[in-house]
Amino acid sequence: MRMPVILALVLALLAALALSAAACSAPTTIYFYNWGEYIAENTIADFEKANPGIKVSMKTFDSNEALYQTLESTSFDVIVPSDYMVARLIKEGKLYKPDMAAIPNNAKYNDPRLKAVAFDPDPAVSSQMFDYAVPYLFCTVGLIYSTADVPAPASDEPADVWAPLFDPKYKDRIGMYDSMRESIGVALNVLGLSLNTVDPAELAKAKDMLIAQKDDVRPIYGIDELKDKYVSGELAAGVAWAGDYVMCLDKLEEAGKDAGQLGFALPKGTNFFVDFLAIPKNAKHPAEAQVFIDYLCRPEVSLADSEYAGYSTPNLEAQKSLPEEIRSNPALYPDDAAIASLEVYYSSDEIDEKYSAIWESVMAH
Amino acid sequence: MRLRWLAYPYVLWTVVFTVAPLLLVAWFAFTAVQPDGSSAFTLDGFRSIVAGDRVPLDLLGLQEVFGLTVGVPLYVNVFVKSLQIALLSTLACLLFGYPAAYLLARRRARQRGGTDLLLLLFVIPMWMNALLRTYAWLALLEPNGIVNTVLAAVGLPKGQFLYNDFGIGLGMVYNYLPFMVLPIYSVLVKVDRSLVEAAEDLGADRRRVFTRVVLPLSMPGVMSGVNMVFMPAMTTFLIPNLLGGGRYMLIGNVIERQYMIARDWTTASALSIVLLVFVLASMRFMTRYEKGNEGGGVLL
Amino acid sequence: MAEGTRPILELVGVNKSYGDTQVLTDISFPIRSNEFITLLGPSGCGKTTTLRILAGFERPDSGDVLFEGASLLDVPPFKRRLNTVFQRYALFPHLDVFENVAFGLRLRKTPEAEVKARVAAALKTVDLDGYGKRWVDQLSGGQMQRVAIARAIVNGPEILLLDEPLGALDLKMRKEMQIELKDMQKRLGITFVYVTHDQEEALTMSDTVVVMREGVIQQVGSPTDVYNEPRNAFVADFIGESNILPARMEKDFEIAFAGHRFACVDRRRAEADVDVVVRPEDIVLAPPVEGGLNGVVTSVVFKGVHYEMIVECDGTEWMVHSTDQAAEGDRAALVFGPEDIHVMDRSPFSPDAHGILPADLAGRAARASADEGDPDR
Ligand SMILES: Nc1ncnc2c1ncn2[C@@H]1O[C@H](COP(=O)(O)OP(=O)(O)OP(=O)(O)O)[C@@H](O)[C@H]1O
Ligand SMILES: [Mg+2]
Repeated sequence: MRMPVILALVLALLAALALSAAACSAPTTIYFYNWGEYIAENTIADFEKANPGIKVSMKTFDSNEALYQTLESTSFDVIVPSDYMVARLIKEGKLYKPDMAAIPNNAKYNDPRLKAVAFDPDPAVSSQMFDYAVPYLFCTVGLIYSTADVPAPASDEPADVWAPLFDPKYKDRIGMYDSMRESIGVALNVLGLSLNTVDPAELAKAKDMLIAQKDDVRPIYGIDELKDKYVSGELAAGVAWAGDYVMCLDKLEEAGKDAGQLGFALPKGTNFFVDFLAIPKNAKHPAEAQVFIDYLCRPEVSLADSEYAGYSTPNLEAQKSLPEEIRSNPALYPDDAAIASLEVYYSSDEIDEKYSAIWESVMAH
Repeated sequence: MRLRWLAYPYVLWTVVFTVAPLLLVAWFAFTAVQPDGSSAFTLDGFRSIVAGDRVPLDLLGLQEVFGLTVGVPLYVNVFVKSLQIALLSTLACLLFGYPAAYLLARRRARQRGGTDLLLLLFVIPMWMNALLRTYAWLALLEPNGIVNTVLAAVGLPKGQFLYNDFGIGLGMVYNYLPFMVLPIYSVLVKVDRSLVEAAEDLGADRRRVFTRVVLPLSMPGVMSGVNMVFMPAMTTFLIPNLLGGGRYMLIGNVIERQYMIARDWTTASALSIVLLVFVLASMRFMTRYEKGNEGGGVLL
Repeated sequence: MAEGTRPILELVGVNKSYGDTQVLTDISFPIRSNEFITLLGPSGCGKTTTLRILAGFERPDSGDVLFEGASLLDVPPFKRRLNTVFQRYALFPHLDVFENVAFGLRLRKTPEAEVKARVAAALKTVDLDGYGKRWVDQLSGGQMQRVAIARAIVNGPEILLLDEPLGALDLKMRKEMQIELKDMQKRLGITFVYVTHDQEEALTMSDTVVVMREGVIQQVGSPTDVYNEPRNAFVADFIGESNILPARMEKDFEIAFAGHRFACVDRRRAEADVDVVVRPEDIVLAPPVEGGLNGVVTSVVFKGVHYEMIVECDGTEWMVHSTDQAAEGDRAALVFGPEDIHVMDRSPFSPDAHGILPADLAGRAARASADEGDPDR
């Protein structure tokens, strides 16, 4: 229902492109729908060189919901949904089931531990995740902190790790994501509750905690703008995606500062999420899509994409080539115990509504 | 009265760009999308304005002083808070803007024509994108920004200029001051010098010339200045977004978030309608107060 | 009549220029208490400027303004005990008529009852009772002018400065207001400094007339003085219709002009070049006589009370006012007595041999009389 005119135009354009491509009997073009700044700059060009028969045309989106909406009306060959969106698309029968034999690099290199993660409350759906999708990059949610101001957490107990975020000592110097799942997640994590709870009493506790935090600690809420504030030292600590932490390290390096200035800690039971590569059911070129996905699973390609995006790669071979301080950082590459404790977000209308209501009233306070 | 054909483009313009969006907002405010995709009439949007959490009413921080707490719905409190900051900013703009306009008008009278560089300095910021301007302020006022660096360099304590009432107020005054100065200035330059002389002649000293002649004569300018500052100050979301560290919510931000983040178009539209009605009513009030509506008022 | 009383205000050697234009040159004259003094002169001669200097809105470049002997120059306008009726009214648009008039009283914290009474009286004086609640933009030009007068007189000032206060009124209203103002001036004992470019108004109302031209005083005197004994051709021409001719004193009591010798009442140095003025109403038309001042009537205009006739004698046009009508083309002799010949010193405004005034002077005089008809003046 959104902007049907523009959509129609886009469709017409795509159709025209497809026709002209066919007319020249030139290489097949596959349509790749990706997050912004989420693939190394020369990955696509290199792929096209290696596969002269295939061209890749990339468009970007900025939320899983936008991806979901666009899928309704547009045909893509490769998409990058996050875990819960994969589950939803599987449930709604919107994914093409690829021939995994055509994607050998997946089985060969990708971390098998991921298959054990419960990506959906329904085990039947969860168990199908890896039949339909191939992990691309993943990320954890943890505490970023200035090592000069904040002592390293005493343990990986959530209450210890997140403590600075609720400590009035750091008034005005705490960063929180203006993103309902991450910020409510922090509170739920401290309270030892599930990140996907819909229990009104539990949610009320988390809300009270966040309101009290807003009054006492007065955090800065934001997303992209927070990174600069950690790098400049304006903020002492905050909740952060591991990918943002890695980008902060890059920024420190660019600024000629010591990377040791910022630390990152992962509490037990925090969130992690995996972005998958998948093929929608209405894809026009599933075969070529599989070739592209397999290419992205090559260790050197995955390494480049991971380093570019700042997110962790599930590619075990690629991990070996990472700089030591990244690879050995358990916050970026959690060990078995950590992985076992992490929780993914589930998505449902009930969760969306309840969390959104809580977050809006926290923000309006 | 029959409209002349020349007026039709304007009628079309208002219909497309004013009436239609307003009707759309009203439509969203009174309907909700049902699970099956159809729209149904509802008052939920308005209900959720008053249904939210009860919080102590924040009146200039007075509840802390007198221990009085009045519980009000969350959004009502946001509304009251926005109203306060808008009024205070308008007042501040008036207090700074009037003397500025007065001095500029006097310079103008002395110079007779030509462009006044000082006036230009007041107007130039209006030609610049508000976003850019406010970003520049961010760089100045950040906790580790230029001002604080300078303060630290001369051994003064750093100040917290942003993310609080003060920062927001400062941002509003900075952004909206020209909208106060210009209408007052343009009325003041038109105040006939001979009226001032007549008042002096009748025995008024400078102070009373001002209070009895210049000030009342400039009231239309003051009124339109107040309108032009109060309206955007009441509805802005840009300034709190940029200068509020994301934690500062005015009614404009709440509406923006309801549309853009929570995607609850019903509540967002209901809030917009309430805000619109309120702003129109307050303008109406001010233009009525103004004697005989002498052309200074912007609307109604 | 006012000669004996002390001067209350005095201008002493006042000069004023705006940029390069000298607007007032060496203006000096006393203003006596209770006097009705009128500044008279053509448009742009500096009348308003003189008033503004008296009121304190302008500072002279040099010279002084004395109030009871003490300099007023450093006294700001609001402290000077005089009120002004402005040429362009300067009424306060944000106040109604009542409040406009009450403005000065309120500044002096006058009790409300007294304000009401005095404003009502002032409005009655200017024939505007019942107009108190009107806004000033709902008034005609003449009504505004009367409000301006009321606003000034209500304060009972010692000195009232009036800048063409009747310019916007119709003839009848003007006459009534002239009487009213004059009466008020006498009754209240206020000193009036009055500005007009209407010579008739000046003559009928004033005790003293100051005739100005281009920022220079031409003559100060009583109305009869300036009318009967104009100091120069400009004054003679500006104050009423006149026939001005170059002349030459032959000896005491004998003068030659227009090709004839006349007996006169002045004694001057013989052989002196002078100007004479003969008022049109002093001339009588008689049948032509040998050796007389004979001419032909070239134009006859009916003016109500009298006929205005032009008689041409030897290339010089004479203006004659008479209640007896002559016909165009009639031959007639111009007859006047020695006392009707006023002898003046020569001046830059002197006419040429044919009685034609210098172009600029004639032009100004014409403009001044044209201005009378313009209600906005
Ligand atoms: N503020 C001013 N700046 C420059 N010139 C001025 C100013 N005020 C008056 N003048 C000039 O001074 C001269 C005298 O002006 P003033 O107003 O005194 O004339 P006036 O005798 O009152 O004429 P009117 O009968 O037309 O009112 C005029 O030539 C006028 O142009
Ligand atoms: Mg004048």
